Amino acid sequence: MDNVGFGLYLTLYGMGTVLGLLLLLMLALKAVGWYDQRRTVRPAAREGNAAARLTDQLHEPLPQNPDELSPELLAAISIAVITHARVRRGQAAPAMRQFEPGSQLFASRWVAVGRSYQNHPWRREN
Amino acid sequence: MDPSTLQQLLQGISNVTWQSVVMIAIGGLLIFLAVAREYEPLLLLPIGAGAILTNLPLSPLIGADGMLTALYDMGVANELFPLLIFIGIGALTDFGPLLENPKMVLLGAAGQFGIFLTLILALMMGFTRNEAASIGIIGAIDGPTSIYVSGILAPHLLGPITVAAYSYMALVPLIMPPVMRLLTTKKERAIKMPYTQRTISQRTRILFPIIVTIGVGTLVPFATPLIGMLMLGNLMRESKVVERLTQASSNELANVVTLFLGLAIGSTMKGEDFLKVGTLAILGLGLLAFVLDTATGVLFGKAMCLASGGKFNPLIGAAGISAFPMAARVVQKEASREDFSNFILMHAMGANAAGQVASVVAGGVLLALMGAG
Repeated sequence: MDNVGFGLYLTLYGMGTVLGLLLLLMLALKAVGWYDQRRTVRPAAREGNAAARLTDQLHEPLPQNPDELSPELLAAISIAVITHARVRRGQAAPAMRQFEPGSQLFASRWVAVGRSYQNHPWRREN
Repeated sequence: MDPSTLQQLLQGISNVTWQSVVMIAIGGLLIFLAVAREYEPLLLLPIGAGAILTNLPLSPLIGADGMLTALYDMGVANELFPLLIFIGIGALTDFGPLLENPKMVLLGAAGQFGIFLTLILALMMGFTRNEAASIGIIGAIDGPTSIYVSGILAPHLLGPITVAAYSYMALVPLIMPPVMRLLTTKKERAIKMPYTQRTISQRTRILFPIIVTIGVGTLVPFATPLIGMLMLGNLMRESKVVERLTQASSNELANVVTLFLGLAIGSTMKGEDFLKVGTLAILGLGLLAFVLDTATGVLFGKAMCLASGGKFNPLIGAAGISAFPMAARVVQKEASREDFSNFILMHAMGANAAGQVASVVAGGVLLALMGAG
């Protein structure tokens, strides 16, 4: 009976400690994630403001003939198209998982590509 | 010919005992499982070889200066080998899915209940407190943790505990599914969870092992060796500046140490010590620990399902046991068995990575509660 009591004591304190520690870890991870997101969102917001100013400039009437577009404007449009394509490609992976992809292989391929892109340990992030 | 000369020539045959014959057969069985069934071959093959070499009559390998004794003293008696393997595991583990979804950490805790429930059963069956704690740690479902803890608390049970831990780990795809199906409904297994990938910055990935080591090491000093080595490996991986060390830890170091560890564990399987009723009880309790871990994980998953209003697939709870990454694969397989288009692998990987950390923490907590020093 003593042994069972000892076992219950270990279970209570052991699981309590493990759960408490992991709860603390979860809160720490959430805090780091929140801080990280804040640091990522702020520069993005600044870039967003700059983009808004550019958009305002684009609201001026455009020439009817494409040949009359200035090189700066053409460059801006090209960058916008490339960025748009890149964003859409990035969004494609979760979209494929969220909706029926048609085949498991197809879904797995998207995940594999996304995961390996994120986790290459030998590549520095820019 | 002088009778003493004949006796010397035949001393090998004259020292064959039934225990050694049975143990050689068990060693052969482990090698068969490793080769023919591919059940954890990296560990079971050297363990099987070690068991055979140890039980050959008058084996010089386990004498005072024998190679297997030297390996045991060098790396198992002082807990060096499991810790070195942890560096490799850390270097191989991607904690990204856990960092993307921190609430999965709680599932890791749920997956450790089996340790304590098995411990109570072992106590009821008459094992001493240290032995019961060592048997319970099989429920951590993490080989190096089991070896580390039982090596400190009950070194004489190291052989059966290691064999149970690794054998059942190889059988996870057979042990887990019936429990998962028994505790969940068809509707619950088919719950789809959309996965929105969040980019985890390198800063967070580097901070994670440092925070975990300092936090866990300060609160549970007994867990420092285990968590410290696991997180050191992960820090090397995520820092991306010591590629050679990362590669060496996860390949050369882990491979060499795995071979040495397997042989050293095999050397503890001496027939006279291994063939006892207690060994059978340990094997039975080990299986029970795996079942209980899976069950409590699924039940916790069901609680999360209720709390989320039916948006959480309870199968993911079963991935909270360690057995990284096999448990997550089994969970995904079960989910897609119910609905082919259901894809919960990344959620399960998060819970599975949490289980890896939780099992190490549970091992440290158990050592602390047992007052091991």
